[in-house]
Amino acid sequence: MSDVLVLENVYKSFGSRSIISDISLTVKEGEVFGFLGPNGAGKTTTIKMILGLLSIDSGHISILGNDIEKNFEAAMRHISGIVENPDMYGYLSGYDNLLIHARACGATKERIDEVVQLVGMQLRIRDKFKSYSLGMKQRLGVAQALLHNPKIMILDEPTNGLDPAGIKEVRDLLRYLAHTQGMSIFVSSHILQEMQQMCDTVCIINNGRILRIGSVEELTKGGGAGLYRYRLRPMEQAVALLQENIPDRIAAVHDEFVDVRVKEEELDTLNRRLMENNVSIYGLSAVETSLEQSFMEITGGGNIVG
Amino acid sequence: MLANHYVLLKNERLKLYKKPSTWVLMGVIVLLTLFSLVINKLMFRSAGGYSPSWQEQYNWGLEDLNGQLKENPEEIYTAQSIEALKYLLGNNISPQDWRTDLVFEYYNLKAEQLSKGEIPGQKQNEGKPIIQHGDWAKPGMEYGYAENRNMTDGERQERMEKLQSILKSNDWRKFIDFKIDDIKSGLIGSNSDQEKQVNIEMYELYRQHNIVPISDMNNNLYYRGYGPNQENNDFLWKSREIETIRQNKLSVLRGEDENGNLLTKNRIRNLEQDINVALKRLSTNTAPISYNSFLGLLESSASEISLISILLIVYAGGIFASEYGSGTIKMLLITPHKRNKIFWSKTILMMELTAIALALNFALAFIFSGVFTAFKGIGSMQVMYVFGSVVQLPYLLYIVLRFLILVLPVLTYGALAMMMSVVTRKSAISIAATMMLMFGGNIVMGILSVVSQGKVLPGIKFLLFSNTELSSYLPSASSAFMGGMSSMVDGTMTLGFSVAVLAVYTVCFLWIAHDSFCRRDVK
Repeated sequence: MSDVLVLENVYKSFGSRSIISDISLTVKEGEVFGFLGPNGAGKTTTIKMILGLLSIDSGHISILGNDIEKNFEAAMRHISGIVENPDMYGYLSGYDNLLIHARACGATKERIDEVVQLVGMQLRIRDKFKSYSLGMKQRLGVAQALLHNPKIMILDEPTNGLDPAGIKEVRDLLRYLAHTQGMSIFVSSHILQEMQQMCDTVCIINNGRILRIGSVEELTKGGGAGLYRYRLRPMEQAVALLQENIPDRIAAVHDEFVDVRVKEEELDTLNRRLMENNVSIYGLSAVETSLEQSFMEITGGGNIVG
Repeated sequence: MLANHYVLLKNERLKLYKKPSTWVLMGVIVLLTLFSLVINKLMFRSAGGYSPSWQEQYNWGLEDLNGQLKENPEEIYTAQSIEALKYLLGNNISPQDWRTDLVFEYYNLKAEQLSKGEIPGQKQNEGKPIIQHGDWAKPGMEYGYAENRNMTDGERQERMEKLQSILKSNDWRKFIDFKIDDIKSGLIGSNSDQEKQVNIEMYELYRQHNIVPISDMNNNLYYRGYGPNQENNDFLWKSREIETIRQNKLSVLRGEDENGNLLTKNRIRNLEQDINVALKRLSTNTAPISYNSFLGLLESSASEISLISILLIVYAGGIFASEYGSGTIKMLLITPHKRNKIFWSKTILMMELTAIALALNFALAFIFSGVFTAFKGIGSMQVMYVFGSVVQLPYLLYIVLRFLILVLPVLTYGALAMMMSVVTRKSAISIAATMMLMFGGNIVMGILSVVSQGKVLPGIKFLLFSNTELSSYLPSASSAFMGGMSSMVDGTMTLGFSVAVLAVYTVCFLWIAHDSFCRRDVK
């Protein structure tokens, strides 16, 4: 798998305010790369730099080996993107909007029909863009981004404002594009679940800095401790035992259960210890072993939607 | 590479021409243009208007003089004025006719003769032949028939007989000899030898070109800019050209114009150019374009380009700003094209739109003028002063060239609006600011001229506003009639200078716009 998008030590500031500091990342071919961070973390700024809308203060961005500053046109031939909202000309039909972009990117008219088919917009494509619902606008935006068969597609919060069915549609489409068409997808979001469900690799960013990059498995398992809910008997004895051994890991104590924060590999030892002390384990379930946990840990609990 | 650019231009076209507001505005402009054409036409019609025939005017004069005579029966001059008018009416001598001058002089002398002992000077304005009706007919011409002379009875008698014999022979060549004699003897005109020479040359021109002279009275009134709207016959325009030559030569000699203003070097050059043009017109027999002919009407209608500048400013002001406003700038820039290509595609589209609007404007003016004048005289030639030489060219061609030159300031304002559009990224602000500069410029110039109390401030000629009135450099059928061109800020300014200043401004505006568009972040 080759590197499609590479960012090397990228910095950006507006005036004296530093927005992006030392961001380096690599997106590989056929990969769905999630760019996760709370609002104001610098996601959109990074995306705008990748797409050439903002200048880069220092560092390099290259797409398939083409530096976007030195070799802008060659780099842009392989990339497409939707930043913020899919803004198009409201007074033009969906088709005309696609036609404009197709001409600029050198895509054929047949290709327009293809992408329209792909996003299922055949029936409404001759209507004016301003008459479309938000979901249709998003789909048309994706269609536009697909026009010139880019190697990588950059999507800024693609599921923003969509209903659950719409979100699923987008998710399926992106996974289809990445895993069967070999396209790389770089998708930003502040919604964890979404990332977990559709991404292969996730990069967590806050205050303009990368906090962690890894595969979804790595971040959920190997990374931080998960929250586990034990149903134990007798309860008093169990709590006393836990408080004696791992007082700092107890998250909450209820009448029926106790929540413990431990790493996955520590579970075995903990279970053994409980059983040795005549505590019966009636139930054990993972409350949140997901990305959220690592994210909370990493960012120290930024404003994030679970 | 070029194909690449063309694709972007095609996109810009699609965006502009599918926008409903483009056509709404274009329609409004077309309607306004038609409206202004109608107004224009009506104005010229009223300037032409109804004017009473000379016979009517003479008859009114007669009524008036008869009334005066009734009150004052001894007034010899009044009585002789009545005789003069009767003679003119009886012999069908129009005010244009050279004999008019002789008739008035004859009856003036006769009045002198009859009122022996009275000094004519004392009764000048009461007794002399006066035609009161019609502003254009006023006594006391700078030259014409001799006045205030001390003649003996014998001399007077001799002169009266001479006048009579010329009138009887009806030979204008004799009239010219007679006038030249008067000039030589200092009886009329100036006493300076140089000025005498100028006046004699003028009369020689009549003979040389075989032009029947127009009466001095008529010519003089024409030159002062309040001539009646007369039928433009061959002799009339020729004698007017000769009169222009004479007046210009005298002005150059005296170093001041007829109002006593000192002439600048540029003004002297203009006067000399006009002399050359007039001479060429005479030698090539090229009549000036009448302002109510097809070409004259076309010229005045096609000059109405301020509407086009409004159109252009509205489009140019929105062409970048609207992309920022709607967020579509991101889509526009996320394509494999450098920003400068996108900038030029928009700039070229603006030029294209201007060209379309201009062509539309010109076509409307063309059809409109044609409808009113049946395209009469469309191929008329005209003698013009172009780039330092006097040339004869089809006037239609000149109108087109003049039109194209008058458009240059519009392009500069368009570039300004584009710059504002890129820099402010707000349509409303860039349109309003450019309009304010365009219309406020004249106010600023007015204030500056008041503040400077008529003196020309240094550097003011490099201001944009000082160079946008290109029509002041380009004579037109109507401006020639109105008596010359409007004054410029500075006597040293020429068309070339103004065009160069406009070009520099345009390049600067475009450069700033280009630089800002290509470099600034899209936040």
